Amino acid sequence: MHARERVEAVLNGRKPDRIPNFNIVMFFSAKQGGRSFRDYVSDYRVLCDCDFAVSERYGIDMLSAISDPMREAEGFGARVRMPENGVPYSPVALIDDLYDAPDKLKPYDPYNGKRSEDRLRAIEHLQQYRGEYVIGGWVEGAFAEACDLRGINDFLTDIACEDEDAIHALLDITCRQAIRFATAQVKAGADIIGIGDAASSLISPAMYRTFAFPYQKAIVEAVHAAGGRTKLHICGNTSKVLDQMVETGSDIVDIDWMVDLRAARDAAKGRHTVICGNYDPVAILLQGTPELVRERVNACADLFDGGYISSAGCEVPMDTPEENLTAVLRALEERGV
Amino acid sequence: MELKEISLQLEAGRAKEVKALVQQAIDEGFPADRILNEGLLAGMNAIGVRFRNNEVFVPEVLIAARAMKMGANVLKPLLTESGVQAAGRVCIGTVMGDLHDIGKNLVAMMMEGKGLEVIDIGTDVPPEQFIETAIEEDCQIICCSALLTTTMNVMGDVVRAAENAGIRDRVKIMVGGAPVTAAFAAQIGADAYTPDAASAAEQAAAFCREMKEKQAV
Repeated sequence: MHARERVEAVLNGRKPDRIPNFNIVMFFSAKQGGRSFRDYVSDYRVLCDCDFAVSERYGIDMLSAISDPMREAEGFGARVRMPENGVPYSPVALIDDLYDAPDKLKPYDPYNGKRSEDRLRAIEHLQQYRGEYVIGGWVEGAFAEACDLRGINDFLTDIACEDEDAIHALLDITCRQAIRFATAQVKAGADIIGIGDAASSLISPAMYRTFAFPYQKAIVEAVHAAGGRTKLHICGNTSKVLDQMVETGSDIVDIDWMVDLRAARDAAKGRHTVICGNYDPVAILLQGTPELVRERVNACADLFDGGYISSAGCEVPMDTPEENLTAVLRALEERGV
Repeated sequence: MELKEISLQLEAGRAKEVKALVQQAIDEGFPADRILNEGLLAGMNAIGVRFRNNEVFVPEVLIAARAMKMGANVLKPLLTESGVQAAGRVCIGTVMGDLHDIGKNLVAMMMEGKGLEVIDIGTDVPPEQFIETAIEEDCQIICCSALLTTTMNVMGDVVRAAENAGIRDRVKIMVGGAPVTAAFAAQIGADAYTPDAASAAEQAAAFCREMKEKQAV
């Protein structure tokens, strides 16, 4: 089987030849390609070339146009700095007053000549590989995007004490834009849209239900309506909201390393949700040995009988030894399903 | 009134109420150190424990800390007047190249909740600045935070800079952040790794106590 058949098999409840490998490579990919991270996040050709080479070499089954969280914020007008080898960031939050958000944030066409468009170009460029690979897109979840625009400290304070309608007004804007961006990516040829909603691991299950869940679900449903699939990716400890993550209807729920993978599996029981995760990217991939990698890849996979995709809990660290990432593929090939 | 009312309002993040109650306690003649310990710090400690136990989450801690700050501002002149000393001094920041500050902020809040004086030098802090601040402000502890695997190595540079500046024997260096592990902390020669904000505050308070006792001997 090639990667596309393998992933399709898992998503459709059939047996693949081996468990797919969905490791997220960004910094690692740029480094392997000998490019600066700034080039990687600002020129889709660099991103595509680096990612294709890494995916071929390490048996990663999805080519993803993912790089950093600031593409959407930049489209809204946030000032974004791109360090040569750091994650792009906004030095000043665009929204300094929650109540100004509806006036300040205007919806925009993702083909905006900036880095939103660059991501769409990446997806178009990756179509040359779609015979063999699945193609991944990416959007910030509405909650994470609100944090990107308002500043995470301020937005998390807002949701604890400001007017709920004003909070929803901001989330509604970021959600609509995410849907617009995600559906454009599906139209450009993305099979699976990753929804990154990192900050939503920092709030209570009750707040998640009010401020994160409805918007995640709306994005999932919009992607489905456009003919794509979704992978909900939340960095951090989401142990208390696993049921809600599954309830969004996302085809894939991607779990970070702090979560007990057994609990995630159980939360998905009786549904078609595919669980993805979750060995420790730092302690295992970056600092571990090939033997340890093999052991943990297998320990995660052993919990499942289908409905599972292998990955570290989050991004593969830049300085991960090559033999450790090779060991992931070896382990998956050895075990089959 | 009872000072417990202050801590309960603080736990609920009600800043205005905390401010008013602290003023009321002062007016009723409670000593400043009792208002601090039984009111503000008790409340912040309770929130810290509940945070570690996953009973409350980041937003609740943020507003509790804000309430503590409002209360502390009212109390500050009295504390200075009555000569109440901080339990120790910490300088804290995210290391060079890292702008993710929410973890660092939570740790700073919890440390203040332990009665420590916290000098927050912000984000993207070069190693030398940690050292300069520790010397200038006479800190017992340097606390470094990193969220990224690409920046956490800077923590090792902070340890080396402390050695080079000749202050390594009089400051404890604490490290934390999502990618950081105890093994990594040991490898770079830091004194402690803590996995969460409440543990970091407890560790810092313990270090300060230890160092004070050593001085006394």
